[in-house]
Amino acid sequence: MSDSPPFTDGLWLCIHLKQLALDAVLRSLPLQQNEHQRPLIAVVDQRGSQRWITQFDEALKPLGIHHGQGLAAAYALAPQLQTLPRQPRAERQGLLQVANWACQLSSQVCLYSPDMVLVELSGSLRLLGKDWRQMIKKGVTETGYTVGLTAAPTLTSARVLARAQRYILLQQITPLPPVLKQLPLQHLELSTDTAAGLSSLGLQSLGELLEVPRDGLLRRFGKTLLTHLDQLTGAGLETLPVYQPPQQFESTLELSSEVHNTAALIFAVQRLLKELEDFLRARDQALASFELGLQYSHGETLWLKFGLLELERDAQRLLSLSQERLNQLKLQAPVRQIILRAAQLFDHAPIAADLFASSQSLNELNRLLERLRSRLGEKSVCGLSGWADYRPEKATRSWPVNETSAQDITVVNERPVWILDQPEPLLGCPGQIINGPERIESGWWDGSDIRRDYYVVEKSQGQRLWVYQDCRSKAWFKHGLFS
Amino acid sequence: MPDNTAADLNLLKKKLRSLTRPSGRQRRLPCDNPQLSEQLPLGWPRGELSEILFPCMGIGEFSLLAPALAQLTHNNEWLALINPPHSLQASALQRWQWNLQQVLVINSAGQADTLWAMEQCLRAGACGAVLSWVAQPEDRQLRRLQLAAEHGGSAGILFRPLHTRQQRSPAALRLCLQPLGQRRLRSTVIKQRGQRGQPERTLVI
Repeated sequence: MSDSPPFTDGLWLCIHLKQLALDAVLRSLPLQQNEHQRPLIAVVDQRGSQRWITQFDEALKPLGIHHGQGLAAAYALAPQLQTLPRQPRAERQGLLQVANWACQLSSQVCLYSPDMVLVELSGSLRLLGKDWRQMIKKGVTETGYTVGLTAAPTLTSARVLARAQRYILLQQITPLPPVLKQLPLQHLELSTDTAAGLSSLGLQSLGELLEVPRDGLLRRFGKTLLTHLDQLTGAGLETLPVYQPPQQFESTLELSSEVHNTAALIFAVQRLLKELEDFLRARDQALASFELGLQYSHGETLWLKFGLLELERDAQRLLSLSQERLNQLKLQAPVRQIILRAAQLFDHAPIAADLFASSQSLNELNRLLERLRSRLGEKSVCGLSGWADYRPEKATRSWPVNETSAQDITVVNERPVWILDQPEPLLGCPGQIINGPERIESGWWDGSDIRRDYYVVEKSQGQRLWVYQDCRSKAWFKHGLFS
Repeated sequence: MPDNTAADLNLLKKKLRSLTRPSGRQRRLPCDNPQLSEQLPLGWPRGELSEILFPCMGIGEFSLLAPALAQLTHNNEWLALINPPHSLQASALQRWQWNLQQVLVINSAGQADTLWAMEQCLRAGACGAVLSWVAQPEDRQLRRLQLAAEHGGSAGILFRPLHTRQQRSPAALRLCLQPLGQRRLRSTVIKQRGQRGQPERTLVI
């Protein structure tokens, strides 16, 4: 883009999940509690016996709740408060989820625990287009996390600004812009000793700190502080390990309360599938099958397996398949946890030539067959083919669609369309014989040998039947219907 | 964004498909039987539900449709048979000149699943014709099938017992069959939409 400023020094985007602890807890709440009528929630952190509030709903702020507050004080201010413990595992998973999503933006994605994902953007700005900030913000918000975005020329400056909640786009770092000069020191990444030492010197902002002679700082606080400052201003280089997205997808959603009906599960499944879609998009892959695990409260997990007829990554389509299956399911016990797994991933190759009819209708058919199989069972859909066997009950085979196994056969005599699975015993010949007898004697080699005389018979009501008389027992049977 | 491009492309494809479909497909399935052609001058309707009402199986109710369906399978269109009442004999279908490669048999348990499967097949528009044997669908379910057939443009054909002729039905065509013996049927059109033919004829099959 001609009008975009040059980012010769690089541009690091810090995706700051600013209320990750709260979002991770909210994610696991059931649907009905998730919107307006849910109670006001504060997340509680714990070290030893000490417990304090870390993150909380925005609506609690006017009541006087703040970060680091003790529980007793918080309850006194807001009696309607509901406190929930932090979920470190869910937080980590959230961070990885956003990192997986961010892999579609750039090949350089780094994690910074607990709540930041950093992405090198200078190479991808042209591709992302003018509105990249809105686009990224929307993308992360759709994964279910509240986000703040800061972009700055160095890793450290992006992080530090995000931590100070300065969600801005900083294009130049030399000379140091006012927003960094005025930045309070508490937002820097300093050890507690260093921070205490600096504040005892009366230093409050980054600008003041950078005016202090370097050798004095080196003597007093050691090399770490200087390195940190250099990395911030771009004088020194910082490297973080590049995030490697996993080779297969697995994600778990813990439900904070037990779910008894499948309708409520669909909401959670939708979330996981969206996550899967992001994962696949970031890696430009698609899947051929996936598994959905429902962990019951007694620990047992029910695995639902889904096979697809073509490569797919669209969450909406995967959802409609899952929905079909879930609607039919009877839960044996309440569900605690949902697991989504996809191991067979393939490079996504969009079909370029499907603009017109023929392959389009094949796609439609495949989708239809998937839906039918998903509800009626894997073996519910089959094709037909003739089989060279004289015994009428063995002369037709059904085969799974998409596999061809037809045998060309020629049967001279007329055969009925319908064959009864079990021949029905008759008292005698049921009507007027139109045709016959035709002797069928076969099958001695596989133990189910037959010796029968077949007749085409018309009953008085006009029904045409295919009946036979067993040559040994002389009993009559109805075996088929001409239609 | 690539996402928008994909959405635009899908929209374009949909438009193209809707433009190409009517010419790519015949609007109706011609019936080969000379007497039946007098009753259905335009053939079996597509994009509609048709009912065939008959007293008992084996009077020739299926073979009446066979030539139309054979032509369908040779046009590389799919034919879906949903929950047929008995096993189908491949050699008999081949005698009818059906291309078995284009025939799908869908087995379902219970009327609810059968109706669901039929609706899905009709709505998807991937099949040329969808046949099913369902005794007692409710009015609401019949309406759903008719709407699905309109949506997908497939021919929906229901085989039903004769005594259900009193039930109201949204189907475009309702045909009653009575056997007369010696491969002859009395065929009565009790409802027809979109074409006008002889209400009653004796068919030789």
